[in-house]
Amino acid sequence: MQDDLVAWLDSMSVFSLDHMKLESLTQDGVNQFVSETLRLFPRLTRPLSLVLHRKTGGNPLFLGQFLLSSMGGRDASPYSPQMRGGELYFSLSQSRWTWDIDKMEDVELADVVVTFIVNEMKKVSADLMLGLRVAACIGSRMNSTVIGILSSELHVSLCDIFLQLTERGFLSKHATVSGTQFEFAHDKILEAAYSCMSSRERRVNHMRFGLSLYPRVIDKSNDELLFLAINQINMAGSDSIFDADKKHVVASLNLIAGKRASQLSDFQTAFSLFRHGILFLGADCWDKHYDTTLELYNSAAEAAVIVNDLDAVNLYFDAVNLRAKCVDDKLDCICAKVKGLIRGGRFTEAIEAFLVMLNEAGEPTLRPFSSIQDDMKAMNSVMTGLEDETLLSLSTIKRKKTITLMSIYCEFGQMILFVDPIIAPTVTLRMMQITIEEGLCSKSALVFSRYAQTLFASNHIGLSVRFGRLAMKLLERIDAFECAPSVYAALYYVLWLTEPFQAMTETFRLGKQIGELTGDVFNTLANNALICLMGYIAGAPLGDVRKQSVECIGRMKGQNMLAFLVLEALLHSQIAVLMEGSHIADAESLDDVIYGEKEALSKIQDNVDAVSCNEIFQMIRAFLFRKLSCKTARFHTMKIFDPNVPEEPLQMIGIFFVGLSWFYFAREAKEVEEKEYWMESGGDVIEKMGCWSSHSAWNFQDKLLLLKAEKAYCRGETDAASTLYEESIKSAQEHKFIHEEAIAHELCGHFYLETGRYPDALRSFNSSIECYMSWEALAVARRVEDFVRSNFFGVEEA
Amino acid sequence: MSTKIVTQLLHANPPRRFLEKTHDADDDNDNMGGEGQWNEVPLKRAVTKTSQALRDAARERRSIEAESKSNSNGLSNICGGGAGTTTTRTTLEATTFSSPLSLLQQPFSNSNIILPKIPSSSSSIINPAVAAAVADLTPSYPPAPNLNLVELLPLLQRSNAFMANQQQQVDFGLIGFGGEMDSDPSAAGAGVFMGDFSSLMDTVVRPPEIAFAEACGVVAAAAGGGVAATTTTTTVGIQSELNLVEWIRQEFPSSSQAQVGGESVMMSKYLASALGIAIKLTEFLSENEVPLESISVENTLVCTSYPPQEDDVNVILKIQSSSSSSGRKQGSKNDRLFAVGQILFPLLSGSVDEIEVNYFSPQIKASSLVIDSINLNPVQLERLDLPQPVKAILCNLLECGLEEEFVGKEAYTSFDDLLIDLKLLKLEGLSRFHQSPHIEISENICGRDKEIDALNASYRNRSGSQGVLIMGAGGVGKSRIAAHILEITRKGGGHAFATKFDLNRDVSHPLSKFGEIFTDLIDLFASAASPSEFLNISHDLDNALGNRAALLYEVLPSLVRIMPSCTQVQVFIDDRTNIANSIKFMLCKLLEILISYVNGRVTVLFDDVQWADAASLSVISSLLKSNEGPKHCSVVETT
Repeated sequence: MQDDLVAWLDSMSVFSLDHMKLESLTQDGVNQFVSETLRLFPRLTRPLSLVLHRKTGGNPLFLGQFLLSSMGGRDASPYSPQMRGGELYFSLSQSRWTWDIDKMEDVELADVVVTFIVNEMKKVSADLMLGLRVAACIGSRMNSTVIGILSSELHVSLCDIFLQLTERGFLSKHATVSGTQFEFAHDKILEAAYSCMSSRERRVNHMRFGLSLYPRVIDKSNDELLFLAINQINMAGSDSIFDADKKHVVASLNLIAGKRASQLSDFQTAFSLFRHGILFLGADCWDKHYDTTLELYNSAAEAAVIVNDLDAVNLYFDAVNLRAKCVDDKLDCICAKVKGLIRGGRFTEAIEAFLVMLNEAGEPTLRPFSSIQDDMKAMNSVMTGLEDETLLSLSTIKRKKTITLMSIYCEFGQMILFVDPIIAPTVTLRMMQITIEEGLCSKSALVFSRYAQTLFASNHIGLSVRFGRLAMKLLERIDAFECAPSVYAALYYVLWLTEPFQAMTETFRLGKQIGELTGDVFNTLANNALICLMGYIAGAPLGDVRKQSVECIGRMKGQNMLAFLVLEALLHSQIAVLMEGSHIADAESLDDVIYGEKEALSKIQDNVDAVSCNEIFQMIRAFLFRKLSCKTARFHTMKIFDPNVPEEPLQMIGIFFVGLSWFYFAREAKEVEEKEYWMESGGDVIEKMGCWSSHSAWNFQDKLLLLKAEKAYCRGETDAASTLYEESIKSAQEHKFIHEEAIAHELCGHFYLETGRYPDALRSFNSSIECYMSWEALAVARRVEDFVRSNFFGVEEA
Repeated sequence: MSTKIVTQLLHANPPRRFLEKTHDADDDNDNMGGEGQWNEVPLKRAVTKTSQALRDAARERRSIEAESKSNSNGLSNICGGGAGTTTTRTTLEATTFSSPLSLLQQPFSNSNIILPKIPSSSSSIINPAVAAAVADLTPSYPPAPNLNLVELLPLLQRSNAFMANQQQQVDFGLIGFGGEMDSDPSAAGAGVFMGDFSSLMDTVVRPPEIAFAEACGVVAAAAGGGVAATTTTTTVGIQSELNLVEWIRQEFPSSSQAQVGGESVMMSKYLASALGIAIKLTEFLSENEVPLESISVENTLVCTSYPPQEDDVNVILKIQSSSSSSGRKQGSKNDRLFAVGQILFPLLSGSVDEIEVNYFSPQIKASSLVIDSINLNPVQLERLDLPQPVKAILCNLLECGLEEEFVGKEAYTSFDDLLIDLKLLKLEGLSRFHQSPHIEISENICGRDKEIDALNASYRNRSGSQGVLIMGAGGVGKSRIAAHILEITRKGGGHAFATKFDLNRDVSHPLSKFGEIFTDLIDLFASAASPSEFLNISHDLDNALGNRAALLYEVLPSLVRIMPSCTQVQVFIDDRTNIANSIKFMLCKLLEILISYVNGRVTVLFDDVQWADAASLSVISSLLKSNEGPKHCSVVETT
């Protein structure tokens, strides 16, 4: 069994398929078969069936073929028992089939059905044998067009011959819209017919049939005939043609057919055709037919990337690298190689290949972020001087080399974001420089979004927001449908400053949808993961987010996206804990799709994003379950404020909870100094939140108000605190942040409790519980419920 | 009550028909059941007689109730005896049964009457002799003379309990038989009158443990010297009985009938009925040790329903009661098979002239005599123009009567074999056995009952399975058995599509294999869709595929039929790396949308996936993944 099939069968285990393993027929089954075929009572055919079962092993095809043979189905006269040895014959006197069991016992049969059929085929007439050979070479199906062409070539009526072969059980006939079509009754019969020819015979026949069909291909746009003709010639092999010019013609034909297959999105066939085309090229092809040769190699390399044959990519790259006349001619193949290495997960080699390419193409070397600050400043000053419309209306890139370079940069830039983020900005900067110098291309929206991301990391927030918006506009202006998912994913780092979190979720949803449509699996899953994360941040019902996460994890596992998987596992664990309680963090696996939190934590040591993500989640969890301690809070805070982690929505949320925790500690502090320390720290967070709120009041207003309320409460400014709490709750309601409304209600409840407004406190706690439950954070709701029960009972009792 | 019944009778649709047997006092004690003529009674007269019977019944009931008040043990006294007590009814012209009666059953050896067990799917089984006796011993409702009356349900229901109490005390010389008798008393709302055999009835002790539930029917049987009967009766109907030879003469299509009705059709119809009789007879004989001497044409009676109903024929085999148990000859298996052959020969061939001479012969002593008297042998069969399978059955049966050294290898050796052949012939008809020198290999699925059951179960399991993966060696029949799911899909009103991967010499691009399926699906939709559905699906596809549909159009030109916009856009793709995934996704979406518009289940067969390339396998996986709804299932098959 071929490797692809084995792998596919293994992959079937994920589906709930019923498996059925068919064994050979039993004696009873054989008897039923024989009885029905001979049209006699099973009682009468049983002795014969026992012999046949023994001889054919109960294989129905073997049995049928043997019976056909024995019953004269392949001979001219079925009435003459002598023709077939007399073991099974039609008795005229009894008007029924009968047999000689002893002779049947003596019949010697091949061990396997194919050998038996081959022997049977050797008995047919020369005409029929020719028909079998033609059919075997053409493949399993022969339509009327092909039959007509080959009948003319061979000067025989293939249709009649095929009809006779049909009567003899070798072929079957089907009526189609386009006429009668013949095909082998079973693939084993095709196998047998093909094995009746020597390899030389096969080659000669394939070439003859291919050349007969080829002239018809030229005039008509008949894809099936095109592929049939070229396939026949390819089956004959390059050794069958000695003339160099003819070889070149065949190579060109393969190039044409391969491009057509590629147009039809059939890259496997395309790769096969390009490969055959290369085989037909002569030794001096680079000298005599440079263009055809280069195009064949480049096309083969590109197709090899798509079918994931990295060895082939390397092979074709080496050939092109050696024989190409200039660097520009090499770029396509280099691009294919880099893509192939990235897709194969061989990132180190990909970086090496990329650096070689940069060197050969005369591109600047890659530098770390810290080394390109001056270049960034220069670029920013240029950008500041350019109107939005000017940037959006830049001319399109004309040079093919530049387009290829941009393609390599984009592919590499995405990979390097995860492998070595330090040098990612230099790639982005170079892409922006090329854009300014040579104009726009289909990747420009992605370039703008990456540049916006880079600007944000270097704290150019205003410019970053501008480029984020420009990227979105560019997506609409130019035909850049394909890069939309990667643009949206990149803008995660920027959009939160301007767009409501909920709108971002919808953007990622669109990104996922487009990614599915364009086949961009990586960015589809990236958008999927962002839908989950943004859903969590925006306070979507946790049950829904959890379901989405399960789907996302399943697909990530299928794509072996391990780095993303860890992040998703942490988010999934966080959701499960809020829904079910802290104990779920100790589970070994969650929802039968992903490992538990402990295993996830063991995998994140080198992943800065994941470490930061975990600290944020732990901080949030500690606050929501009121298991805060100064020591751990300080530790978490340190990680959350890691300068290496770019500021992004989740980090904003982390900082918000840090602020809440600090005010909590301030209230709990017994020493004045300590209280002041925490108050001061909390003030820093308020300042930060105020800055973000000025960019996006929708996303940060309620958070800012709540922090301010906490501060006022700590300072004993009860009137101000009361107002701020109410405003925060109102803002959270207006901006649909149910989870933050719950937190605000709860904190407000504590405030009222402390100030002796018990009915207000009870009302606030109840509202808080309701909101937590709407968020589906049931474990948190239970915690508040317990608090209310234990505290307010006492109040009421008193 | 009676008014109601009469009204029902008058207004029955279709109108009830009644038979009356001409009364002949001399025949009362006659062993034969064939005397007297059955004539149809005009409805008016029938109703009059029914009314009279009902009035009599009411009067009788009042009288008995009065008696029972005075003597609570009266009934048991009337019913009489224990073991060995014999009650003989000598005059009973007609009986109207008012109750589903319990049949009496006891071991065969205790009786000289044998009642073969015949499967009965829907009927009550009533022995009129038993019924007659019971009717006489219980608060019965005297019948209208010579009238077969049906549907006296209200009376039946009233008398059930009473009958159940009484039957334990009644001894009859009959063995009841059940088959698949309906055990629900309410389903047996009719009695059946079966003629005047009851004069020959012996009564024996009925074992008290025989449950009433077994007896929801009435069996009519009587015979010259004891009798056995097989019957299948319907809840409403009248039965008549004929000697087998008479039955054959009556039923076998004459040349003039054949001309009118078509010879083969008439013959097939006759053969189906004859095989039904043959099967019942053989089943009975295979289960009971009937004396050899009783296995003869003369002793075989056929009861048929009136109006005729499908498979509603009863066979009665008369047993010679004069022979003592010890004196009976069972004969060898071959003798008995041969004896059956003598019955089946005229039955299946329609040749009754040769046995005319023996028809009235009351006693046949031994099988050897039968051979001589009827003079049948396998060679004779060759002269007859009989269908080959019939000839084979008769020949192999009659061979059993030859001397041992002349018995061929194909001669029957057991009743089971005979039964299998008869049933197969009846089930599948003559065409199954049509002999031709130009025979074709059977295309039926043979020897795969378990697999077929498993496939059926898998098909029915809509939510639990995404499809079936069939594996097996080359030539083992994977494609054929996979086609079974397509058949059951079509039979269930669903739609089946199939594609087949070929050896890697295949010329067309692999995605064309999926194109075949989708083109068929699109054709299916387009053939039945209304203009508004066309608009809707086009809108759905626009939303789902957008301008990428132009790519799919390249692979699937028929897409334009349901999405005209797919040709109106051009997509420039400068990086084709992800196109394969894109096409996969679009195919899944297209399938999802198309299926949502198609009524019924959709089954897709991917045959010979061992020849599929990696890209095609990947597409199949995607389609399987999207196969989560109840409307479609996929069958994939490999080697």
